[in-house]
Amino acid sequence: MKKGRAEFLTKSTVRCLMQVKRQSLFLLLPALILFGFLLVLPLANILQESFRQFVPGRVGSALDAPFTTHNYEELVSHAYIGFFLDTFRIGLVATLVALTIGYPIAYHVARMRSGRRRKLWVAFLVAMMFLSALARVYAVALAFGPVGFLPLIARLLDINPNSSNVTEVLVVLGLLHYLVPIAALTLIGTIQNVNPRLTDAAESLGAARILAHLTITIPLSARGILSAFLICYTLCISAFVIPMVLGKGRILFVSNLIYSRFGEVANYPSGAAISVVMLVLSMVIIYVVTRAATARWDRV
Amino acid sequence: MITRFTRRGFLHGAAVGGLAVGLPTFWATRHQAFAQDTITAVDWGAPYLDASKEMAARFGKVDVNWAAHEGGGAAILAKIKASWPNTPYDLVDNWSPVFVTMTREGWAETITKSDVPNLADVPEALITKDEKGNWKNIPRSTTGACFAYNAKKSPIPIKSLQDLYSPKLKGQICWPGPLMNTSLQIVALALANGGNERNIDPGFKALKDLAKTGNIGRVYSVHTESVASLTSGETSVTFGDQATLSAVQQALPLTYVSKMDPNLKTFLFTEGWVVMSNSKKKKAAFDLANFSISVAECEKFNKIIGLNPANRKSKPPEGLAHLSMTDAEMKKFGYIADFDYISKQIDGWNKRFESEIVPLLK
Repeated sequence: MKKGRAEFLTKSTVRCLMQVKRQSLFLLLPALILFGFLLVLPLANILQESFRQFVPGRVGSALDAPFTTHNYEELVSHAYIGFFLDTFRIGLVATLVALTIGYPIAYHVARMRSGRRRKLWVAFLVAMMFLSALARVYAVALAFGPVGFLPLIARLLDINPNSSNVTEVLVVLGLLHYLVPIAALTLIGTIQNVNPRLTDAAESLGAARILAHLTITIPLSARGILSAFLICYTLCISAFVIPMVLGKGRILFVSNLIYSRFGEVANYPSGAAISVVMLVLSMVIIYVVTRAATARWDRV
Repeated sequence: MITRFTRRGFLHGAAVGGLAVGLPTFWATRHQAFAQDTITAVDWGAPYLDASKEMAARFGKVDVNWAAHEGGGAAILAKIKASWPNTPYDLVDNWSPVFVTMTREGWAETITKSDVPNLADVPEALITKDEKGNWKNIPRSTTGACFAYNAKKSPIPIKSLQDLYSPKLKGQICWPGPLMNTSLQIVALALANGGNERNIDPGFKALKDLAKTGNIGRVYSVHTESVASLTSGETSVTFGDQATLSAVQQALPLTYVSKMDPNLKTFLFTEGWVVMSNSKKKKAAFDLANFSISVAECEKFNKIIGLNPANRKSKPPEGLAHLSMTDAEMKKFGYIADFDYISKQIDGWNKRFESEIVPLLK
């Protein structure tokens, strides 16, 4: 009797779940169609374009252009690998610095006693994101240009203001201008979910304040830190205007290479190949980082 | 009281809402609806766009929707290709290398003197032709590109090619990216070292040597970067087209390195209109373009943007003596590049710049 009833419940539950799944699919269908039309189809187009032969002097590839792997082969060179490495390296540095600066800001905002002041801070951080990216980039360019602080800093530190290291620092500064508010906003919610009494308990048991934060607050907000990292890193490696203006044409991101092919030279196949490689590499990196982080949490 | 939502109520509300939105929109755009002709024209940003709008206002017989180029002149090619044959443009302002590409793609309408009578006053050598000799563009300006420097900021005067390699110029050169001016700057270095656009290797070798000196402070990829770099004092020497250099000259004294050293050539080319071959308003586009290259209008326009008028009867503005050349000067200091050939090489030159030059600038 019990077994029959259990079987009945199980079958009924399964039927119910199937119905819910079909209904959900039906409701999701418009979004899926839009997603397929606006994202999957263009990506498929880019992929097929990347294998087309380009005839110099024409605009894009011809409809009957033969397929070739030449567009990918020319990326396997020291210079182009260097561009990819520069993009990922500078992006990583900017992201880590943004998290280092953004976390204390987020902690300060999350732990504010006054709800009104917290709202004002959040509004301020959100308002910073509405500032024009171009205005911000040129503000950094002028502030650290020949009429700004750079000549003075260069003299004090005895460095060449035109060196590529200084240019890289300027690119990172430009990225930070953009990333710090985003990192802080992403982390505020996470930190608010960490019970402050846990650190109080640690301190009451003799732990130093900094140790309490390092061993309790930060590990408990690790998932939020990972989210902020992924968001900021994605924004960094896809940045275009910031490296174009602050990089002075000497520090090139992959996005700048893609723009020159699509925007000026009209070599769509080469631009498509670079885009596909960048997409695949970015997804691999994000997957590896996420897996490594979540594997560690699973072990803990 | 419960308000019932009825079908009649819904239709009533929709009609009122439609009228509320539609009437003001119609009233604001009524003159477009009743206008004889409205064309869409593309031009560069200020001061080109402002000067062209003033010209169109004086013409008055055609309404124009103005759009601005986003980036260099070639950037619009991608938009045209993506929307062809339903491109929304009727008239596109561009320059020599892009005329060649548009002609090759079949996007440029054939023009005759009966379409644009004022072309009779424009030297035929300035007009782009297809392989059958058909005219394909309407020149408005003749202009050039050359080296120039801010005499007050530059550590040394630039009088010859070798001055660019001087150690005193560390970080002072604002060098155009390979897609600016269709790499005429690299052609300039090639010409100075026994090459030309068909033998560009000497140019790349010279540019590698220049990159190794550390004198290139910035590589610009849009004209505004060059203007900002020079006017802010970040750099003091550059190579640019006259429109960009004229914009810089409004802020600081610029010395043109033209007609000084036979190794530093001044390149000459044209800017003007292309009537799109898919345009449904060709007559209106021809009429506007014809008006723009009349003696008076060509003079007014080129005075504003600082270039030489294509109409030989129009008076050129002052300050362009470095672009005016006698036959002897043209042979020694001037150069008209083969833009048809260059347009097929620019992709390869761009990749060479990325792989051979940029690593040396880091």
